[in-house]
Amino acid sequence: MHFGVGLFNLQTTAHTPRSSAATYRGLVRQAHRLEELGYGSMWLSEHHFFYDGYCPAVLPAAAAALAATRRLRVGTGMLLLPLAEPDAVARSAAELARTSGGRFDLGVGLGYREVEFDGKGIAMSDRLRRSSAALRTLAETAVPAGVRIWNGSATLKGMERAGARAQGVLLSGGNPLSLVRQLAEAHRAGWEAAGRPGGVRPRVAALRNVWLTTDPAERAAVLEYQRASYVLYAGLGWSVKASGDTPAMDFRADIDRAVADAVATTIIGDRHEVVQGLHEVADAGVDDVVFRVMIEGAPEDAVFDMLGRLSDEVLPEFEGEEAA
Amino acid sequence: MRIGVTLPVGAGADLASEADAVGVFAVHVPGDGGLGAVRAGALAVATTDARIVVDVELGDVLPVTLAEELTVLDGISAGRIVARVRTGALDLEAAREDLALVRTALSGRPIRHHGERWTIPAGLNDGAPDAIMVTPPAVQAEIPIWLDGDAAVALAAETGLPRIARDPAETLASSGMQPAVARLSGDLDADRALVLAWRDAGATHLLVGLPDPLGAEVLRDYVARHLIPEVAMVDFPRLMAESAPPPSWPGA
Repeated sequence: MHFGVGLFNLQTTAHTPRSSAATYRGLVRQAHRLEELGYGSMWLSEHHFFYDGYCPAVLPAAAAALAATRRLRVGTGMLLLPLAEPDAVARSAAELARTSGGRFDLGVGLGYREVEFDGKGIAMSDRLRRSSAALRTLAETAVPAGVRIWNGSATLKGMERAGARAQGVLLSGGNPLSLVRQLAEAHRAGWEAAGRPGGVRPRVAALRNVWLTTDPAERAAVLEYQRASYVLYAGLGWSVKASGDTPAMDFRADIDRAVADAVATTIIGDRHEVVQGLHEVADAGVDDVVFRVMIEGAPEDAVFDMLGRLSDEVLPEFEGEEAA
Repeated sequence: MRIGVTLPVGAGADLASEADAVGVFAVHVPGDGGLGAVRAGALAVATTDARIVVDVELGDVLPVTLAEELTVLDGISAGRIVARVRTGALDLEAAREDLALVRTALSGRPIRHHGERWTIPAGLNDGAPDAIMVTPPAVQAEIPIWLDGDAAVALAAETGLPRIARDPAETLASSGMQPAVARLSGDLDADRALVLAWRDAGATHLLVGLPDPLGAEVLRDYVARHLIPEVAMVDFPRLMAESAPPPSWPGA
């Protein structure tokens, strides 16, 4: 099991105001710190035209993080592929892979905000076609240069398609574990139905809300900051569709319930509780975990202190561990 | 006149760091093929004080996207970005539209653009507002734009933006910025004459390509020692550069 950290959104919010230069420069420092702590990867994410400066251009930001490190993988979780010009993304991704010794992970998603499509001059109804065409361009230009592709869908069909392409998936941190299990199964089934292309099952990575602490005050604070971090998704208009026994999580229709459901995914507690929680994640079919700990407003030193403890006390338990 | 350097593609972070350390005005790595933004991202990490000249090519990519890349880079570099906007294969009319859209996007104003090439917002999606704004905003009050390419002369005349000169015999701007590019030969007398010709013609910022073979010592012992001082005052007393420097500090 590999462990990464995310999501680096590079926001400057109403609750935590600061210079956007401080936020963006901080990315480089944080990449250093993750590498020093021994984490395998950091993951950026993308949105557009949002008041808080949410990173709209993840490839130049990834270039900076890669240039600042020697071993750390840097990924996009996700680059919104239908909004991009495919040749430009493919060339830039290939450049990042070449100049970083193959440390670049290109996670791609469809996007869901009407304003982002409209602002890019694109009909949202065209997003699947554009994404499929762009994936073909990436396969021709970026993958041969060493770019690893990840998919960010949250639907069973999207998982099956990614599996059939022998590409990994990175699942959202807000997904309850029941949905994670279904998505991982669909991914595996899609790969098997396609005749196991590549011969090695592509990986399932999942963002999970995780915090190692025995301090009740810190525990309460983490859950409050998690709650606040998910209010963002209400602002962005994000939702998770119902799937099987898993109910919908709609941040537009019922903010309080959706936020509570998302916060309820958090694995929090002492070493024993966190180890057990991560075993349950592995048992749901997850190969790699990306800790969703860059919760907006939480002090950077508190986050990295916790990541240090997590790296020392918990991660050694998972060396050699494989997903169920 | 200030001197910056164009480093070869693949030159590596060490050369950029050395250029920054010896005080060149700007570093630039060619960004052909739309690679300007990712190469500039790496330069931002390798440097702390030098401006970073980013190649931006108008053409296939939506100008709003180009502006987003620039504001992200301006944040990462704490406000050190200069955009070298190349008109590429676009004719004057098309380049005019794309440049205008880049500038509106960088300005922080709401964008409502109806042009021959782009309609932004597109009005294709229910619930989308009638304007968008690019975020994050640039860190600088305004990201400098230097025009380059076939349509640059006409666009510069229309907009008042600087355009990059390639020949000191051209008519250069007598006020505001006048950027230029040149290549060094490695012959000190010839290169002194080259930079002086540019300064005396009215250039304000000269990006120089470095001579072959290229080592880090070229930046400190050639560009920074001889050429930057040469154009930093009138009648630079060359003795200042040519006299023997003291030995390295013990242990340094």
